[in-house]
Parts: sequence; structure tokens; C-alpha cells
Amino acid sequence: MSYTDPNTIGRVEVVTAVSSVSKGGDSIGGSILVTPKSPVFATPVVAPAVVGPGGAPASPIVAASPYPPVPYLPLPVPGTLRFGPNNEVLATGTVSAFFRGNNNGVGVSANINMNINMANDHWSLLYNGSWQRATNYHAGGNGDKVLSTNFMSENHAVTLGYQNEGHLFTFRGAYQNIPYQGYPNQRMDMTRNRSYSLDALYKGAFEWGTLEARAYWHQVFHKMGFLEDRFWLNHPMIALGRDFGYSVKAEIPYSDQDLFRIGNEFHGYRLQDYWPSDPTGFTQGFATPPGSLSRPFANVNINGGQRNRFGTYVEWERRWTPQWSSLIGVRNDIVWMDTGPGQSYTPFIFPNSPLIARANNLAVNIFNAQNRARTDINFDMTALARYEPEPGSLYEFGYSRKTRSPNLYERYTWPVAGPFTAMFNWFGDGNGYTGNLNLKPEVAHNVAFTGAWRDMSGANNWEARISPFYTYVENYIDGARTGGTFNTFPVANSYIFQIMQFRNFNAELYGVDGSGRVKLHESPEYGRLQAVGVVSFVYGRNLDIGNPQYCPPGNGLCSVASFLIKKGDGLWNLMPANARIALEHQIGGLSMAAETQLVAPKDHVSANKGEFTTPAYALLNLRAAYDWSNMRIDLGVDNVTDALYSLPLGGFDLTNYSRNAFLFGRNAGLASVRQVPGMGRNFYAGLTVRF
Amino acid sequence: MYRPALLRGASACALILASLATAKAQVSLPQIVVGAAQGTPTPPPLDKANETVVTQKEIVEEKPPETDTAKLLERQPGVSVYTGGGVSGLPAIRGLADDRLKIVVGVELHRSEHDRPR
Repeated sequence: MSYTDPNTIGRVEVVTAVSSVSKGGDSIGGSILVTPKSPVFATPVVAPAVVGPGGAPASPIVAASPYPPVPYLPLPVPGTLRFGPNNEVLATGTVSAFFRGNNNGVGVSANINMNINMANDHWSLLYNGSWQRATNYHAGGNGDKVLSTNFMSENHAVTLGYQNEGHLFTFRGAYQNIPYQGYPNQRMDMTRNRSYSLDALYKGAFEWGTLEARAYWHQVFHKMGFLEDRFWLNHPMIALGRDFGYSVKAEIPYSDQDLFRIGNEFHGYRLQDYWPSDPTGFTQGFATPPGSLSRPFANVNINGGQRNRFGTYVEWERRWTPQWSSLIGVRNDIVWMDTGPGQSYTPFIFPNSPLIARANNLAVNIFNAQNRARTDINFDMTALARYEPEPGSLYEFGYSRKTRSPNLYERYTWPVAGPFTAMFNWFGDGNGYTGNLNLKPEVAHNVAFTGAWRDMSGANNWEARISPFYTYVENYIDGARTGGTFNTFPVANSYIFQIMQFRNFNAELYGVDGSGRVKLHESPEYGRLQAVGVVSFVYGRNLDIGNPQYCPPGNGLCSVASFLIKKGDGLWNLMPANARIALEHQIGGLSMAAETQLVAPKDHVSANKGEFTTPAYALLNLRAAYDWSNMRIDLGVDNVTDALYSLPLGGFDLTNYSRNAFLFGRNAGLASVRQVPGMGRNFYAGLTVRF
Repeated sequence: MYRPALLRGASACALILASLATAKAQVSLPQIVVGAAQGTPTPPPLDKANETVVTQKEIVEEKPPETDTAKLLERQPGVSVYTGGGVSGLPAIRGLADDRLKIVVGVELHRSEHDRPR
């Protein structure tokens, strides 16, 4: 998700329940489908009108306001900026600026769309750009700065669109630059990240149906290191990644009742992951005496890694009666991957080589001696039944079988010893991870039910949705303790982190989530007042690892017994039960909201990974926005009460821990072990101008 | 280090001022929101129960406080976000995160998400 900026997004589809095979593939959970802002085509010369779904004219004002509109604004009226001898060029756009108080965050973004209309040819050019930066944020309770939460990022995208007689071509080029970005729960920070992408899209309507074809290429240069608030030395770690591929999808309405979707896609990925050599040992500082030649060569973790996926699917949607409809889909994905031989810092052992170097050297030799090519042939299927007894109520029941093949790091990470393994961690738990060539793809069986209801009286007074689910995952890939541990280098006898290896387990997850909206009042005098709410609950456990949660602290026998009876350790980073309830008021162009977020304590955790429990908390957010015809002002306060809370999914605050351990020694380090805290009170403001 | 930041901030202000300065008295027309249709006064039909959609209206509302795209999804039922960098949180749906989800940002760029955390 980090490859796109909120400014460049047109809409996002979030498939949480059973996702169809056309929206899945090589995944076992839901789907997030982001549609970037696409070029807008306007009809020539005639002023463009905004049309809502179903052809109804969209009104920017909800209830007719008794207050007269603002008589004069010194701004061009949106949608009127035209150029060219015959006014064939129409320019529209928005320019926004943001300010966030807690972390001195500033951001600017712009969208500019140019339409050129000539006879039947319609051209459109869209530019999206944004830039933002922030310093470290303050925790709540007038708290300290949370180190390594600063960042700067910049995104630019240019989209050229051409439309003619039902055919649309789009070419998009995007550039992203993240000069620095702190990661509080990781060992290192991002010190440089540049990504370039090109994307061509064709959409066509034919007599038999619609066709969508896409080809893309993406390259990223990525460097991790230390920002100055974490550590004073630097030892970069570099990854070069490249994605490329195509997808073709046809949607064929076979009859009034039947719709077929057929698709095929290829996704290639190439990766080079290495840590440059350090012959003098200088960047390790005091870790090794200079001149000990401990790192004469580059440490190559993934050497020419490649992962390819070829996927094909067929999907059939049928409306049997006006009430009943069904969707059935099958999908095949062939995933093949390979990597070249790895190389350790020290291909040769010297008499004074440290033990860690010897162990890793042995590991890479074993890794290189094995056949590393792997091919997985995966089958997915989805079956969904939909029942709509009358307009305004809908019930959906579905089952899906979904498969994900391991990624390159899960299979091919070969370092086994010491803090080296801690560099392969995207969980944020501080532990070290090592790969496993024998991993099998994980397979999820998911059943979900969804009920949705809406007031169809025309007043649209309420709506509600609830969706319980159960997922059983075979071969769930997770870390298993190898028995190896390490301290934070070089502070001895401090916090003990585990060295884990990826293995296959069985796991289950179940829960329920829902949302609702009730209109409390609507009148021309007072506008519209409504309450909206969202609740989510999920429980998950690893069926192969014991759960020592109920053992008294320090009772080793109970912990061992819990592992033997296999009661199910918690899965890492599951959000505890939580709810968001908001009161929204809107009159004319003014909208205001008060939102409260209630989060239960997180107490069922992954003891295997040393996950922390987190206490319950409640946050209050306030926001207001005023919309003129061509201007919008946003003002808000998040976390009004300045509550100090731990982010349930924040992970181990490694920057805080290791900085204190390095500077003030073991005891200070141990005293500062904590979950990453959330942001304290934050005032923000935004200004948007449209033309 | 802050000089480019200031320069860019200043040029952004200049852009806004420039658009303020190009004042013209013209006929009022309905506004165009680039990208997607606006909030709808009439209820759309309940055609899909298994997915929720974050529209341009919600993005516009939540963009001022949020720096991260993943955070825009946090108000959807069942969605949570693992903390990462300021612009690089990892979304989770019903307890399954990251690689286990199908994340398509126009194009599919899945594995590179992992190059980041170290």
C-alpha cells in the first residue's frame, strides 16, 4: 500500500468476506483493490454535469440549507477553466495543503486534469502529485517523542487517457521517492527508497462483452540503514526489486441470467538483496576490532531471486430467480521460484573469526549445496449464494478455498545465527527469522455469512450489516523457535530475542464484524444528524503451538505442559475487539463529526513470539469541514483527551529499547521495553482549492 | 536538509495563492470531483454484501489527518493496520495481513512490500 499516496486514489474496494477467484489468487485472506484516480473525460464545449449513480443528479448539499449561499468568492468557478480557440481544452483540478500539529507534519498535493476533445477523439491528461514530511510524533499523556516515526515522501504520477467509441486506453507512469522513513518496530530505518512504474491499460466494450487488458513494469531501489535518532553508525542493506506482468480479463454476459468472467495473468518478480562489504570493520564500530577482516565480502542473501506466477480463472455468476443468485469460480496458479547461491560476509574462516560468522558460513554452504528451485501448483475455488427476499435485505453465504505460496524470504533466507536473522523481520516483534526450503503453500478454507439490510423507504433512514466468519488455515506459515536466542548486539545479557524458523502449522481464525448507520434527524433548518458505527472482533490461534497464557508467571512446568497439550497459542498481531462510533452532522456545506474509538485489551497473544499484551483504551476525535463551491477547509483534533495508549498492532518499540540500551546500559534498556505507543493529541488543518 | 522542504512548502502556497488570484466572475456550474462520483442521496441497490467501498468522499474526509494509504481503510469493518513507517502501515483483514491479502494498487506489486522492513 505504501506505493501509493492517499492523493492518487480514486476508490478502494475492500473484500472482507468471501472473495471471488477473479479478485484473489496467491492470497488466503481478503482483497484490497485500489483504483488510482483515472483521467476524467468531459463532453466538449457543453458544461459538464455531475451525475450520480442511476442517472440521478448528485447534489453537493444534503438538505436544502436556509442560509443563502456565499455571494462571492474570489476564485474561478470549478469546471470553467477552458483554453484553445474553440474551448476544446478543459482544465480541472484540486490543490491541497495540510498541516498536522503533533509531528510538525506538512503535506501538499495536487491533481490536475486536462481534457482535449476533438471530433470523436477524446484525450485526457491527469497529473497527481504529493509531498509530505513529518518529525517524530509525541505519545499521549504529554508523553515523549516516539523515535523513528519521522518520514518524508514524494509521489508523482502522470496518466494519459484516450477514449473513442467505447474503447479506453490509459498509460500511467509513476515515481515515488522516500528519502527517509523511520520504523519504530524494526532494527533499521529506510534511508532511501525510489520506485518507478509504468502501466498500460485497455478497456473495451464489444457486442459479446467487455475486455480489460493490462501490462505493467515496476522497479524499486531500496536501502535500509540507521536514522540519527536510532544509532550513530551506518551499515546499509540494499534490495533491488522488479515486478512485471500482464493481466487479461473478459466479462461475458451469456444471457440475461448468466455472466462469465475469464481471466489470465502473469506476475514476475526479481529480487537482489545484499549487504555491502565492510572490509575495515569500521561501520560495526566497537562490535569487532578494526582490521579483523570480518566482512571482506558482501553478504548476499537473495542472489538473483525470482518468483513467477501464472494464473487462470473462470467464474460463473447466475441469477436463478429474482431472489436467488449464485457465483462459482475455479482458479489455478502455478508459482515457480528460484534463487542463486548466497554468499556470507566471510567465505573464508580466519583464526579470529567470530562464532556467528562461522555459523552463517556453514549455513550458506549447506544452502548453496541444495536444489533451490520450487514449483507450486495451486487450486482455488469460491462458491457463493445470494438471497434477496425483497429490496433492502440481502443474505450471502460463501465458501472459499484459497492458496498462497511462500514468498522469497520465507523460503530462501539462509542466515541462521545471531542478529543477522533479526534483519529478516516484517512482523515488528524484534525476533530473528530464517527461511525454510521445504515450506509448503498455505491453504485457507473460509466460510462466511453476511446479512445486509437497508431502509428503502426513500428517506434512507438506516442501514446495517453483520458478517460472522470462520477460517481454517492448513500449513499456516509462522515462526517456530529454534532454541537459538540473541541479545541486542552488543549489549550483553539484555533482552532475549528468539531465533525462529518459518514452518508450516495449522491455524484457525474466527470472528464477526459489522457496521450500521441510523439517521437521527433531518430537516432544512437543522441539517442532517446521523450516527454511524463499526465493530470488529477476531480470535485466532495456532493449533500446533501451546498456549501458556493461563500459566502463572515463572511456572516453567505449566508452560511445558501447555505446549504438550497443544491448546493453541495466539496468532501475532490480532486486533482486539474494537468499535468506532461517530455522530455526524451536516448542514449545507458544513459537516462536523465526533468519533470515539473503543478498543478492548489485547490479552490472547503469541507467547511463542513474545508478543506483549496491551490495555484497553478509548480515543475521542473531532473534525469539521466546510465546503464552498471551490474551496474546502478541514479542521480537526485526533485523540482530544491526549490519552497515552499502546498501539495493539504497534509491535516492539525497538528504537526506544536499543537506544537506551546502547547509551545507558543493560538496565536502562530493559526498563524501556514497551509496545509502540500511539500518537497523542493531534491538531490538523487542511485547505483544498478546486478549479 | 530543511531547505528543500521549505522551498516546496513555499511553492505550494504560491500555487494556492495563484489560483486565488485568477479570480473571474462567471456563471455558477456544478463542481467536478476528479476521480469518482460524489455521495449519493438515493440509496444504491444492495448488490454486494461481501465487500465495502471507500469512496472519494471518505478519502477527502480522512486525507487531512492520515499520512498513510492503509489508514484510510481502518474505518472499514474487519480491517486493521500493523504499524510500520509513517507511510507504510500493513493492512490486515480479519487477522490476516500483508502477503496473505491480495493487494492490487492498479497493478499488483506484492513482494516488494517486504523489501522494506529490516
